[in-house]
Amino acid sequence: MLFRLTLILLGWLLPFAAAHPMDSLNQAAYITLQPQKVSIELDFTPGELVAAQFVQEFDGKSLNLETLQKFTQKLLKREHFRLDEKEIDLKLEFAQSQIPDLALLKSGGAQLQLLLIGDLPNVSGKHQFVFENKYQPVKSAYAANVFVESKDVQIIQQSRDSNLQVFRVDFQAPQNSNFAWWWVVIAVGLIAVVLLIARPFG
Amino acid sequence: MNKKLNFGLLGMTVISTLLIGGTQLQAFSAAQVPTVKTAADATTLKVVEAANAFLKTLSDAQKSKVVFAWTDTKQKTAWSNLPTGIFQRNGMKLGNMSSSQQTALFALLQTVLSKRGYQQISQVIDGDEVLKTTDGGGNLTFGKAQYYVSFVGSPSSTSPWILQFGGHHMAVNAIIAGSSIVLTPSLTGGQPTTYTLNGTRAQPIVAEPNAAYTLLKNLNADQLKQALIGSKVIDLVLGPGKDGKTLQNEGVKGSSLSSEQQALLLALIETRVGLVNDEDAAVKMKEVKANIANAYFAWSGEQADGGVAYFRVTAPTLVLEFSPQSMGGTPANHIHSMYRDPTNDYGVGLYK
Repeated sequence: MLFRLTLILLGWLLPFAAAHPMDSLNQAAYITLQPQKVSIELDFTPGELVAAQFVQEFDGKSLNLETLQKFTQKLLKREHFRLDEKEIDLKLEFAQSQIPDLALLKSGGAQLQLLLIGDLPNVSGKHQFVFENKYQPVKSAYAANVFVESKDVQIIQQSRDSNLQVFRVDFQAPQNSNFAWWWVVIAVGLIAVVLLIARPFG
Repeated sequence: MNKKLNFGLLGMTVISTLLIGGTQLQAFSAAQVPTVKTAADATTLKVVEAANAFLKTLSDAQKSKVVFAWTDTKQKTAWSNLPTGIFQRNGMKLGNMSSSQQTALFALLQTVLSKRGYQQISQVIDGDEVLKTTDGGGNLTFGKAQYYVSFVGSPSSTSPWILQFGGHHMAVNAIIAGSSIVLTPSLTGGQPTTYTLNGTRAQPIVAEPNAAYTLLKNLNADQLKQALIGSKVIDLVLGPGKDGKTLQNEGVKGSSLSSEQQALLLALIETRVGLVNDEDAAVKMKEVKANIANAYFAWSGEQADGGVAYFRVTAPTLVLEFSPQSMGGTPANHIHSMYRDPTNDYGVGLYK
């Protein structure tokens, strides 16, 4: 009886195969390098045959803030994001993440999209960003790509290992001198205003 | 005197209010429906005529489900490669159209697309009919009846509008604006990509991978090393839901190719750009050719002829991706491909 039910369930789920591979978890990383900041979108798309096992990674009965924060902490022990070999401190942006219904994710009919943000303070000149993905709760297919939103950040070179689990990006960040220049302008402006106001009383 | 003054002030107030209100309304209207930057030409006028001819075949109730406001940004991005059952499209599906309505719709598509482009989408739809017989069932519905049409904005020669036609493995977004028709973003592909239907063999997506492989095998060792970005197939990076992202260049750069190799790269690009009508394809290809030195070709996967591989072309005004899908069966028989323009997706550069 159980065998027949399993066959019926698989027969219902198998057509979902047309959407993405049934037997693996697609992990895609969209890394956006900005001046002073990096944002990372992580897309998890489990196939129908591994979805139930993947969902065991989440404690709790729903994908709420607490569950996903715990998942993120677990994830960041297996996924590493480094700037010049130093680990970047990343925080989950729950409000901007796309969270499916847990039951739908478990059926293999949904995608979990998490957004992580990290500061890159005082970064200027040439640097290397490295993403190393060792997270493999089930058989996985990996992809990582880099994007920029500002012409100030220039990508020099990208490389991946043969399994697409290590992604290296050499980039050039803008110099910080413009920022200091603006402070000088504001300071001079304030001094001029004070002098103008004080002048009639001199 | 006071009465005259009061009436005068009242009159001025009313006139001022009308003037200011009218200006605001005009500004509001302009913001709601932008104007195109170029005057419509013979091709786009033909498209508008065909679109209106199709809409005339619909009842008011049908039209209300098919035509969406230009400001409906949700509908603009409501496209997918997924079949009915996983993704619900808006608009009107072929299965709910009479034969005369279908005829009018296909006539419209033939004004937008080239002969080859129309043949490709027709064969991809037929391929889905084949898939219905081999893989259908459960929660998914395949087949010709599940392809939908919708409009974002009304057909016009002075304002931009979008013709959306899509279903499983197809999301054609044709933006018509003035003298221009662009297909960015559009998702094409198919499964199966080789089949026999009613005794006729079809291979709707064969020219493109053949052109890509021809380019690959004509690279020298150093160029090949640059072109190879991996040994495994990658899924689409800029598929549905990935608007607004500019993929950074990888692979071998156009400027390092010989003129013969650049010609091969242009031939590859033309297999996708050429889905739109000949006139608009020529405009796009001229633009691409002018920038070919800054285009990049990247490959990830098997390098042997007939092997399974992902490839992409990135250029200042173009992104092409081609991704075989590993979902059971031969990946080469199941393709997802994406066409974007990072400077002009949804035709944003064509109107103001």
